[in-house]
Amino acid sequence: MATIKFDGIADYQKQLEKLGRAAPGICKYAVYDAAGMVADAIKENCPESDDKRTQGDLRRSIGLTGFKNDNGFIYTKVVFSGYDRKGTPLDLIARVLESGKSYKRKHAFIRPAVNKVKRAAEFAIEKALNEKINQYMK
Amino acid sequence: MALQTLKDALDATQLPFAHFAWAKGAKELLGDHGVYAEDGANDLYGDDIHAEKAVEGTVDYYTRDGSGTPQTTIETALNNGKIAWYLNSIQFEEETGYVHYEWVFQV
Repeated sequence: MATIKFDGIADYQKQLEKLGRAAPGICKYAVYDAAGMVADAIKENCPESDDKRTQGDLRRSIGLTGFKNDNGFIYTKVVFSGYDRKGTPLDLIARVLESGKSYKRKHAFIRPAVNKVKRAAEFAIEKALNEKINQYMK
Repeated sequence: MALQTLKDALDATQLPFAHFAWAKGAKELLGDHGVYAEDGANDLYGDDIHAEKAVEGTVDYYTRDGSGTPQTTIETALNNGKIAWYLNSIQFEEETGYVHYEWVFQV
């Protein structure tokens, strides 16, 4: 009768356990890079016309929040933090620019930027995950 | 023309819509009004060419009608025109009393 012998199962199990423990950190590493790409694209698309009022504050205010872990769903958010020089919250100004008002024409800059960079960001996540997983599974 | 499909669908609603912006003073005369505008693309690439082209943009409607009828009318028209869409936001403008509906379309 043929026999199949498989050595090293214990080592393999150890590697998998190590990878399992490191998974949240690996995910954060991958998401952080991609979120940075999205934030940069939004920054690049941020309308110049806003400069008269906020003098570039809106562009400078773009950043990422801390990581959240929602039942294994690890994410961060791109946010506009702070206020302009007249005390108006910058996220409100971004909202008005993005959606417009009945008396103010919209200047959508977030959604087009996200659409533009979405595939590249997904690819970056995939690349970063593969790279990190390979490191642990060597 | 992809945008013509959208224009035809919105014309069928018999609600006032303008492309990008209304002429000065027109909105005030109209009251409830809408705007549609394209702002990007979502093309399908293949064999180094744009195999299929798609235009993306938004349809905005400002209304003081709280019944939701304009929303239903517009969404039905978009469906009838076989236009891909989703409702992106519903906002209330305190200064004017308008409810602002915003749809993202691809055509």
